[in-house]
Amino acid sequence: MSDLVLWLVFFVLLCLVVAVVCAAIRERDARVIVREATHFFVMMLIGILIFSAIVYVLEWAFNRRL
Amino acid sequence: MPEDHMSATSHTGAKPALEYSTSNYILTVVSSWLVPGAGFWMLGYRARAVVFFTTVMALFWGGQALADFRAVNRDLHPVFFVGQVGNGLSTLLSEYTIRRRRPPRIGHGGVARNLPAHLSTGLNFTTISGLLNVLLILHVADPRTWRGDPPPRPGGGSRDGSVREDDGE
Repeated sequence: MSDLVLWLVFFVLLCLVVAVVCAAIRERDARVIVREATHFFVMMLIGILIFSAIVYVLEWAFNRRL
Repeated sequence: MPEDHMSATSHTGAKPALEYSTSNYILTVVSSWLVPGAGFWMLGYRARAVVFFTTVMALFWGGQALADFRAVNRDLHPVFFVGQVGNGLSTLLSEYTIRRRRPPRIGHGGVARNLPAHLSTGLNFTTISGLLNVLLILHVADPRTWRGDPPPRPGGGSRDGSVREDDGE
């Protein structure tokens, strides 16, 4: 398994666990927990990927080999 | 015993199984620190306790396994240890028993050699699991959990639309 795939697996796993625990602390109904966890999971994935893209673009713009 | 919220469909709060007293409160909070989910178990929220225990422990020991059981080390990773120690018993066990059997591989000039390939991931997993357990401890320590209050909604109302009298105070 390549490093990138492994990193993505770890990233998704971590986001999933954090989303489930955070939703289960706050909510009590199983259906609401699943819905909130999914929402939080997607928000984290999108947010972190956007942040990573911004860092990548900044690195490409200011730190690339000329 | 309160209803099992993970399988229940009721939106109302339920009183915890444990009566509030200073000794019960301290015992529950300390148990929650030592073992993730133990506080919820003692309060009667058994299903959620099992979910919390499984997820937080799997994250911690999965991280430890990835890092070849070298993720917890107060001397080498003091900043991460602050987060990891939120996991209580697992971190203490790792720090004072497992770590002594696995001394760091220090090479010439004091530089660590042959570090585990996934040490950074292991540090990440163990630290986040410790911080998640801090969230669980805070929830157990919250008086609203002991009162069995329903989860607060934005704007001060509960999920069924009612507004508590003391919400605005």
